[in-house]
Amino acid sequence: MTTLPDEALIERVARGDADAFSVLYRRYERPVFAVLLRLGGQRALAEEWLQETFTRVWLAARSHDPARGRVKPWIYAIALNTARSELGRKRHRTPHVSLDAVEMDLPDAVAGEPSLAARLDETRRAQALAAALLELPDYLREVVVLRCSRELSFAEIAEATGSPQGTLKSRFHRALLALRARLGRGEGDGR
Amino acid sequence: MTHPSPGALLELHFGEAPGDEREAFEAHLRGCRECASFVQELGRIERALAGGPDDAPPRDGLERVLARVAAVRPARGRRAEWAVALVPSALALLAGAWAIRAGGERLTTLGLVTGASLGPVSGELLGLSLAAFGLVVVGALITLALAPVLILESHGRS
Repeated sequence: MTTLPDEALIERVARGDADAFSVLYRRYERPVFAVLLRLGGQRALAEEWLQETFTRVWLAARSHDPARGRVKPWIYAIALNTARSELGRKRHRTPHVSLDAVEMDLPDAVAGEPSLAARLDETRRAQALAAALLELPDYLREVVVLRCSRELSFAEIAEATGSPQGTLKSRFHRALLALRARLGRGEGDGR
Repeated sequence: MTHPSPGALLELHFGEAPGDEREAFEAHLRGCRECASFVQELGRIERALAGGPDDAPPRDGLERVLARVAAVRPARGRRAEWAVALVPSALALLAGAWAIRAGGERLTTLGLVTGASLGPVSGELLGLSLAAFGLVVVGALITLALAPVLILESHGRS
């Protein structure tokens, strides 16, 4: 079962096969979770969205049409839609997301570990980037997170988002410029 | 100097550039600090976004999803089962309507009931009673025939 392609698995899921669903879940839980974590910035949110995403995958398996696209972009499209709708609802409740409010799970520092300083530096950089990412509009953040996950090509992201590849590359470039401006300002503030 | 477009540099960085273009871009990068710096920055952002130990999904994620699906499915399943159950009910109703229409007349024709001994509407009433009984029997038979299918379907979904 674990060697079956996605298309065969989703057909079985559509017939109510829980084992096929488990294989599909195990195949995608880690990369989808990583994307959701970067889109939402909080582990608790990402966990909730992961559950919602795969619940929707199970319930919508019957409606998946192989002629209209592959399973992988379809799953990511469901994940994106979940994140978008939840983020929209969240913003409705709290209109402004402050950088100070961003929760980051820092790894526990181990005293005396030789690479601690380097690790913390790397962690701070990732933290600053995560915070800067959260300030980007959703449509810019999505393309950066999805492509940098190395799970989807631009063609597959186009399939998942319904946007042309040229538009996606242009958005990526705009996001990069915005991140550069934000991070440059952050480093300047720190000096 | 003509620089590759940002889109072309993105393709190069993510390994999506076609083979012939790739070589030309790489040659350009070796002599262009501006484009090389763009690609290096891409690499830095990608590394910063790379997964770490905290990226592990919840261990009980699958169980939680299955529990959520089980909670959502019965409501949807019940709707489908009601829709399926409507078919035998509709058939039974049609059979009943036919029996009501023809029952009394048929009984009188066969001489099983005489209008004189039981009154002017007795044949009609007896026909209605038999039709109602027939309706119950037909409904029960159809439900019995469909029950294993419905049960299997329900188990398959849960």
